[in-house]
Amino acid sequence: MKLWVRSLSVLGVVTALGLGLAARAAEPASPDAVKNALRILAYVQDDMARKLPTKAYSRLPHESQEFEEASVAMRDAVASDPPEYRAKVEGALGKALAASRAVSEISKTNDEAKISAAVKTVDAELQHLNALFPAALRPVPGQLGAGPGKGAGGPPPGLR
Amino acid sequence: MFQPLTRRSFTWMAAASPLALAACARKAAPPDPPPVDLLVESNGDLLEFAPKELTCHAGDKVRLTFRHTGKYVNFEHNWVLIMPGSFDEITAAATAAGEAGGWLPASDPRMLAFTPMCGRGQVAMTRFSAPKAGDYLFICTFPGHAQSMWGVLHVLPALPDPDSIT
Repeated sequence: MKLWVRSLSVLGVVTALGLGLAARAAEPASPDAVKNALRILAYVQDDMARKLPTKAYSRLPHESQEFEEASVAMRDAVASDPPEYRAKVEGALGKALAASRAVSEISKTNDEAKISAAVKTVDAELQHLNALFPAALRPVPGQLGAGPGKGAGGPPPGLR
Repeated sequence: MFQPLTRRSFTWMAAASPLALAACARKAAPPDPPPVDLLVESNGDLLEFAPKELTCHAGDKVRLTFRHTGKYVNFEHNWVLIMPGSFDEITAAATAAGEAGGWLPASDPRMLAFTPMCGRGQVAMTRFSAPKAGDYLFICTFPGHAQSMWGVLHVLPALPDPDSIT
């Protein structure tokens, strides 16, 4: 075998191993706890967004408080991970929390457009947080599961 | 202190004894059947019930226990069984009832059974007679929760009375 072919093969194997290790690094120490925490945050965000069509803005500070409480689940979920991993998560979580606090503040204005934009920012920051974890752990927006009692769309028409 | 029996009291006793014996010998009324126990919980901090499906038979005396198993988020949850076709009206009426009303339209006859709101770690119980066979929604009536926090009580046809089986 020519030297350059052999070198290329070795490089390929090393690259594959490197990518594999990188993928492993993205796997948190407690995947079930992370999956649960991401779903809790998604549910709270979902509940926050549902206040918009009914203009129930006075409920938004309450939702923001629940988001704050849900963030503890996320911190607990990554407590056993390496510090640099936790720092990355904390950074994204901090931004989501700041966005949620902004919703609480902006809700007092009763300004529909501003409130709607603020709630969308929470969703966007939450997506950034989700992106730090393997796809299998992320909640599917608008469909947090399947079957009776799951999913954010309410019961099917036949049961309503 | 014993008094000697008079002839009259002896006659009365003699006449009453067969009646008393007959009353004792009469078959005792069958005891009420034990309640059907159902347990449902909030799925930790998720806005879901666990399990999401429950089953009983029409006419069952159901004793339902609801447990709030949340750990992180201070959600309030309840368990409310509603008539088919009343989801939108009940959830709207619950929101209108407000916090002071426990987020429940308490006098709405379309609510077949309900527990009060529970906080983290709390347990509540309700008893009800299972309605006629069919599928019935159960929901949490805290504003917004019912969109994902709902399940189905499958009521099967009534079991035959064991005494009627020959």
